[in-house]
Order: sequence, then C-alpha cells, then structure tokens
Amino acid sequence: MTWIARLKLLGGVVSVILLVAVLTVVFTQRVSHATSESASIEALSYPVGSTFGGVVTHVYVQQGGHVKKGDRLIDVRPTQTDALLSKNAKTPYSVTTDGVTTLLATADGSVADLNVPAGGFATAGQTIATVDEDDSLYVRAELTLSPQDYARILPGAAATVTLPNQRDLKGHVESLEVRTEAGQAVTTAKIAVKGLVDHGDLGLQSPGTPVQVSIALHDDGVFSGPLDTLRGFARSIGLLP
Amino acid sequence: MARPLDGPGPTRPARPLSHSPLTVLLVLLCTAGVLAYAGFLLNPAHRGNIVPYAMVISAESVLVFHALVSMWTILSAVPDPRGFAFYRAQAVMFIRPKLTDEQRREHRLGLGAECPEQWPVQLAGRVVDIDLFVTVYGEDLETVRRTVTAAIAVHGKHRTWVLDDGHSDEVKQLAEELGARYVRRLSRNGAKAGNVNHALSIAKGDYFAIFDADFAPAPTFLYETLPFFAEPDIAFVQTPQTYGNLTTTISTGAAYMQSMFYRYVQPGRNRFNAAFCVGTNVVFRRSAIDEVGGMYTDSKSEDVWTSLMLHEAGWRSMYIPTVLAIGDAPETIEAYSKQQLRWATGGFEILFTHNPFSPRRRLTMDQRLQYFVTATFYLTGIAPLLLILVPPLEIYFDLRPMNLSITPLQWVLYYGGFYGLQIVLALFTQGTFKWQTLTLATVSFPIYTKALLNVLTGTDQAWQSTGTAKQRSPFEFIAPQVMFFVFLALTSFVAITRDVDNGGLTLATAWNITNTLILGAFLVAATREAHRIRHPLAAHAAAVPTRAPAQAAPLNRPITVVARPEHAEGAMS
Repeated sequence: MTWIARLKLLGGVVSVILLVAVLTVVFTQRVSHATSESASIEALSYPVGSTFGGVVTHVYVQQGGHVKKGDRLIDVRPTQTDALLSKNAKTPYSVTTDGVTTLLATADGSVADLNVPAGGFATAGQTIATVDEDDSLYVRAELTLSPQDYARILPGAAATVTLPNQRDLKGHVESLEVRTEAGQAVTTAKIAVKGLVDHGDLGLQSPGTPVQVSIALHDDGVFSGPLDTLRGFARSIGLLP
Repeated sequence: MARPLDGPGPTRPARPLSHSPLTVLLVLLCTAGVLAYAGFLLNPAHRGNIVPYAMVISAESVLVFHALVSMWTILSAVPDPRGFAFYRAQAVMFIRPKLTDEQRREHRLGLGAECPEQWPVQLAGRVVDIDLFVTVYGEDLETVRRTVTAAIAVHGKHRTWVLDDGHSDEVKQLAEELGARYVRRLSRNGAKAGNVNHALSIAKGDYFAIFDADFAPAPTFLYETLPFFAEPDIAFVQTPQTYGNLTTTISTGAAYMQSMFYRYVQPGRNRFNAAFCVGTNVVFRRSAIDEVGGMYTDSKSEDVWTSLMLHEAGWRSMYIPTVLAIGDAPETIEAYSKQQLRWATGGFEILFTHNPFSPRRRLTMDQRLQYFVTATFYLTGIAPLLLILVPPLEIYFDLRPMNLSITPLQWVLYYGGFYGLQIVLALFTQGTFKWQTLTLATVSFPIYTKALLNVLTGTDQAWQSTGTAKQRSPFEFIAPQVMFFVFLALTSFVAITRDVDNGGLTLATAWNITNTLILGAFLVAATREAHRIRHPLAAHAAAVPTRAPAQAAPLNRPITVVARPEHAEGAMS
C-alpha cells in the first residue's frame, strides 16, 4: 500500500469520525429537547355578561379595541324591572333611572369577542363580550413524551418558542398537566414567556397564534458531559452567545 | 469432471437440474412471500418519513423485481435443451480412423493411443475446422500450462492457439513446448475482445472456442457442445464456469454468489433465447461472429454485448448446464473488485446506451425483458447502500421508514417471507448456504456505485494498474468499506447508549449492529489477505494442504459454482 493511499484512507476515516461527531451533536440536541405537537399563544381573559336578560342598547367598544379598568363596555336594559331595585354598590355596573345597566371593564385589556351587537338581546348569564387581559399572554404546548422523557422535564425548564415568522423567544415551563394515553405521557405545558407583547410582531403575538415550542430536557446521557465541555469552549471563543 | 469418453456413445445430461417438484413448490412459496412483503411495504398505512421510506422502497423494489423475474426464469427452464438434431449430429460427429489389426491388438494391451484429439469432426455431412483459443494476460505460468495441455487434449481434430496479450516470452516457449500455436499482437486495443478478433484474422476455422487462461476444458468439450450447431441458427454454445479454488472468503463468496445463475437462471434464459455468453468456456460459429463484425470491442463486458449483437441479428444462443471446464474464482479483493466493476459497467452500459426496450432494437419481447434484467441486475448490488443508511437515519434523526403498528411477530413473518424463503430456496437448490455470499453481496456496493457513476459520467475510472505483478494491498480497493465500517461501528455505539438510556433494544440498533458485523467480517477477510500478501511464503505453506483437495474434489463431484451474480438474496438490512 502506497503512502498516498494510506494517507487517503486515514483522511477518509478521520472525516467519518468528524461526521459521526457532528451527527452525535445533532442527536444529543434532539434527545435533549422535546418539541411540541401543537402549541399556541393564549391569554388570560374574562367574560363580560349580565346576571339578567335584556336588550343591548349601546356598545362602547369595538372588537380588538383596548380598554382600561373602569371603562364602559356595554349598556343593557333589563327586561325585568326588579333589576331597578338592586342597589348593591359593589356590583360592576351602575343603574340609571331608566333602568339601563352599563357593564364596565374590570382590568386593562383588549376586547377579544363581542357576541351581541347593539339592539341584540342577551339572555341572563350569557357572555356578551370577552376581554383579554393585558400582559397575561402565555404559551400552551401539547407534547407526547415517553415516560422517561417526561421525567426529564424539570420545573422551570428552559423553553424556546418559535413564532410563525421564525423569531425565537425564550421562556420557561411554569406548570405541567399530564395524562396517559397508550403508555405515553400526553403533556400540556404552560410556558411563561417574557417579552410577549399583545399584537406585537405585526400581530403575530396575539392569542391563538400557532407557535412551536421546544422544551429542554434534563440531559444525563453519556454524551452530555463532553457536549457541555464543547459548548463551554464554543462560548469562550465566541462561537455561541 | 471428465467422464472418461470411451469413443463416441450416447450421452446423458449431467444430471437433472431445476425441475424437482419441490423446487417448483419452493419457488411458488417464495413468490407468495415476495408479493406479501411488497404489499406490506407499499401499504400506505405503513408509510413512515418520506426520506427513509423512499430509500427503502427504491432498494426493495429493485430486489423484489429481480427476485420475481429470476424465479420466473428458473421455472421457465426446460429440463434438457438437446433435441433429435443434437443427438443425431453427436452420433456421427467423430470420424474414427480405421484401425489395423495390429493397432487393435496394441489398444487391447493398453499400448499405443487412439489419439481422439486427432479425429476429424464432421457436422451436417461436412468436415469442419475448429480453433480453440486460450487467452492469456499475465497469468501464472503453471495455470497456463494446465489449460493449454487440457485444450490440446480435447477430443476432435482442432488447432489450439495461445493468444498472449501479456507479451511473455515464457508463455511463447511454453506454447511451443506443448505444441500450441502462439499469437501475440502489437497493440492491446479492445482488451480480450480485441485479442480474439486479432486471432480471428489468422485462424480461419468454422467454429472457435474461447477459454480464459485458468479454465481447463474437459476432453469432451467439443463432443458436448458442437452438435448443437447442426441447427443452422445457433450462434454460440455456452457452458458454465465452475470454480475449483474455494479457499478464501472472497473466492467462496464470489463462487456461490453466482451458482444460482449458472444452474438455474441461464438454463431458464435459454427458453427466452437470451442466454448470454460469459466470455469463456464458449464455442462460437465463425460466420455468426463475422456477421456482427467480430467480438464487440467497445465495452469491457464484450461477452454480454457480443451476445446482444448476435441476438439482434436474429441468431439463437444455447446454454447447457453441463460442467466442461473448471477454473479459478477471483481469490483476492483486488481481482474480485476489478471483475465486478467490469461486469457491472457492462450491464449499466446496456441500460443507458442501448436500452433493450427501445423500438430500434430488433429483439423479441422475451429477449428485451431478459436483457433489461441483465442491464439492471447490478442495481441490486447498490440496494444495500441505501438499506445500510436507513438505521443511522433513525438513530440520529429519528426518521423511520415504516410506521409500524404491527407486532414484531407480524413484521418477522413479512420479512422472513421474502428474505427467509430466499435463503431456504438457496439452501435447497445449492444444498448449502454460505455466509460469505451474504457478506460479499452486502459489502460490494461501492464497486457497483462506481460502475454506475462511470457509465453515467462517461468516464473510465478504474483502479490504476501498477503494471507489475506485485500484488497490492486489498485496502487500496476497499477504502469506502473501511469508512462505512467506522461509521456504522460508531453509530452502533451511539445507538446502544441511546437504547440503554431508553431501556429497550430498537430494531434500528439491531440492524445497525448486524450491518457492522457483516462489514467487519469482510474487513477481517481483507486483513487476512493483506497478511498473506505481506508474508507470501508462510501463507503458501499454509494454503497448500487445503488447496490440493479443493482442486481435486470437483473431479469427482462437480460443484457448479460460478462467476456472475444473478441472484440477490444477499441484500440485507
């Protein structure tokens, strides 16, 4: 065997080893993260309604409009005159002399839903409008995990939320719910994300926007030690942030 | 091999070959197994990730297609292609000289010889001239001596020619000593085909036979083959290649790999009139070769191409499964790689430059189909490459080819229905199953891939010839296999750690380890070979005792084992 052939063979073997190293990094990345099957941005919201049936006489807000605490939302004139007799000062509505009830916003937020237009009839207990609270956006993610992987989600685990425009936001796991289906852990995770602004990113950061969530799993495999060393090295020379 | 021929007499086919009712049953079972497996793979409900699924489907389609066609071909064979014309021609073939009373007496006393190699040969009422060519290109002198001696001793008057492309004065001396004619040409154009064509410009016989330097013909060679030419449309008669040197992993694997082809597939191709020439142990009708302009020289697989040209010109071919010459299988990885590259290139050339289904070809549908099978056959050698890559895809990227909602037992049944039954068929028909065959079939994909790329890019990139007789290290030829082995071994390690973490063996890991072991076995064989090359004396001493019986054995019990893969039960993964 000539020396050139030997060197070629050696070069080939070395490149194969490098390839396997790269693939192993990919593999470890994959097994160190769990990716959501379905995830979306959600918001805490409160429904607005009246305890009695009546005709909606005036709507002060528009769908999507922003309201402040105490803003008037909707006027309802009850069909039952009993309502006039109610004098409870703590109710979130005021009663005028003609019996019209005005529903008020209880927190800052934006109007998500308006179910009854002016002139429409609202039954007792019906949700007439829904208001999404400001700064209450979070991400809900559903993942199907093996029991081993489920055990590797630690409280407060780091999560990456990818918006439809491929922007990544950092967050962490706030709470977990789990049920078992065919031996797999069907997990619903609530991810708290700092920097989610309602209607930010050209409206992409709104409740209901589909996103992708990748949750870091606690890595205790054979390759975690060397990889952490590698990552630390990459950071120290400025390859990784 | 040589049944002592006591003068012309009735002859029987060597032995019944393919038509045991049990073979038919097994072939039918295998067909059912193949179809069930294909249905399982193609069921849309089982489709997994697109990349590995596409890889598995393309590889398995090639394997399934070739398995089905080869089984169909096997069933198509007729037990004995010899007809009345053959036997009548054979009965009056040799013109035996009238013996004087004194000669008769001498023969009875065992003195003197009858010299059957001097008997003139007649065919269709006419005495014919016959040439036997022994093509030599740097082979071992003892091998050449054995072959030339055997060629001279073939019964029936003929001239023996040594066609030396190796330009060796020792071979020239040897030919003179043995009484053969010696031909040497100035150029080496057209390789073996060019060598034969050059000889045809000097030798003018009505029929000519070709033997590679390592294939010593039996004395009955002409007696068994020439009578077929009584039918005027037969262009050539091909006999099998049989190997006597099953001593190394490579030669054993290479030999058994193709035994299916010579024992079952070629006789079946007879029925399609598409049995092709394999370059040695073959006798041609001179006028047929003249009609197609000589042996085909534009390909390294001149044998298949010449057959194709003859079939297009309307000639018929004949194959008999009777063993009439025994030679050497490639013993080294170098010889094996070069041989396979040459054959695979020839096949792919037909596929890409001479599509047998093109309306311009003057072939019957039977022949088109069989040549298409020949042209695509070496794709079955590339299939293992795709299949070897599937388990790593699953290990590293979690991309699964199949979406298996079935139990492992069901899976084993489907899988065994194809591969298991193929092995049973091989076991039954060959009487044995060699792990070397499986190994070689799995690890040869770099050779076939190289052949495919050579044909597609129109380059002729072979391994450089050193021009010396010094043997080269096998590792120069198997660098891709070494790299694949390293890759698979490391991948197996990653897979095992993954499985230990997850607490359960996966199918991908099992396959990956199997593939690693197969490649590893091949590399062990390569290491042994490298050792033999570095220490030739020690190896020679060790090889002699095992080699001698191996060469002697076929004389009693011919193993029809041979040179050209046509059956792909070996592709695993």
